[in-house]
Amino acid sequence: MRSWPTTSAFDAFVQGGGIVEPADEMPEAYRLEVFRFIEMHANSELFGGLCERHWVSRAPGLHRKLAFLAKTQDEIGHAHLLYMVAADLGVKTRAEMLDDLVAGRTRFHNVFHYKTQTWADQIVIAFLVDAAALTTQQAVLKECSYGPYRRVLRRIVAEEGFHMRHGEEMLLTLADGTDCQRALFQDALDRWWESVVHFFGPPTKADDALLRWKIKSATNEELRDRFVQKFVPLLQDYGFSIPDPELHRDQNGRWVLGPIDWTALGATQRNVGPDSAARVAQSKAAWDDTEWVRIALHVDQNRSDRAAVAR
Amino acid sequence: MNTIDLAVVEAAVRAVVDPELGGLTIGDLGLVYSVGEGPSGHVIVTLLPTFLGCPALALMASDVVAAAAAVDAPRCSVTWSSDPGWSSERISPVGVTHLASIGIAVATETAPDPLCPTCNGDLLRPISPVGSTACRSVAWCGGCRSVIDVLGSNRSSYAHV
Repeated sequence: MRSWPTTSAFDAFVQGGGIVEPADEMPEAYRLEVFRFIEMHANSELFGGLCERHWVSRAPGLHRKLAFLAKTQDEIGHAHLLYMVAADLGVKTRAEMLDDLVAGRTRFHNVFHYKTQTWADQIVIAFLVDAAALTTQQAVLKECSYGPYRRVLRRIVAEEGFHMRHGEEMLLTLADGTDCQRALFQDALDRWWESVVHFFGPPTKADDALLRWKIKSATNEELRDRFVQKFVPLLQDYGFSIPDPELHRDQNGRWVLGPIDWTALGATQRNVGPDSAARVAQSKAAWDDTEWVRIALHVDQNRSDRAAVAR
Repeated sequence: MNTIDLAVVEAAVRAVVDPELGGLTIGDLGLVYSVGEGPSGHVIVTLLPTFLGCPALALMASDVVAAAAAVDAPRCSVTWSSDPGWSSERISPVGVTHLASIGIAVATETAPDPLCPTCNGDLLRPISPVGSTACRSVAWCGGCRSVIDVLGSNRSSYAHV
């Protein structure tokens, strides 16, 4: 167990690349920030799993159904790992986190506040949103100061990379398909592009605590830019158009997005997006419907929180 | 027509990277059962899946065919076999080290209780019989307080968690 005499000594430790371990005496504000970040990630993995589960029975063909089943298990598995890391921080128990989530009291990623209307919508999630998530996770993985989160991310990132390949294969099927299939994807892209751009969050403030403590290692703007430089040309190569009339290249050939309207993101952050209520209700129903499994397995909700209690 | 050098093809097949394990090759994971030549001169690769419902099978098979084509064996077919079944004993020492580096412990019949790959402590406790895939279980290290995936194991010890 290590401790630091002052917060500035701790700041210097993490800024110098130091890795914080659970037994260390970290400042409470750091503990809270890292907890909130991991809780949000865990919630989003869980909602991602529920979103994919919806498409298991609707996916075209056995091969796709199998892939969606497996991806659903991946996402729920990732949430499981992350909730354990979060619970160990001792801010909330796992049961409290799940109660807050299914009651709509905590946050989850913006893209899960919208309804997936068509198969192509789900491909946007499976390819572009997974790619966006991978962009942010790779940046966290590289320098994150909290040891247990970083170690779990190594496994999560490896699996998300596989998801993205699967998503790209589904996209290619539509891109190489009939006019109808191509129109289906273009329609989805038109409706989803703004929320994919929003996924990275609003511009990071200069005094951002997540950056100061190296919980994150890049600003939201930097991450969005990495995504744009890679995926704008890729989508265009597949013959799709980006629904942003002011999208252009600067003198260095880099893609620049038009002005971003953040109104829709604000609504998702308050859990009042277009489909927020339905998604939260769906998660509550899933939680309630599976209670018999927890009873049958004698799962003690607080079991995985024992480390937090012992701390 | 070129003659096929099976040793070269086998090396290329073994070097194919598993899509979900951050750079581990399917050779080190123990998936490659045999690489042979069929009567009409095409290569037959027999692989063992870690579990039958693994969603990565089609992708791995296409990566294997591409790897064979890259070493002048354009005609290559992949079959998946469950006899013998894959087991964690098939993972090479390099594989075990690689898996440890990404927080995955390897449990075998002879060594069912692996050490924590993060701190090498012996305080791993089973949490859940399945993790993000059906071939792994989840454990908690009471020493360094890390969440660990366990690949291959005596599953019965996880049955009543």
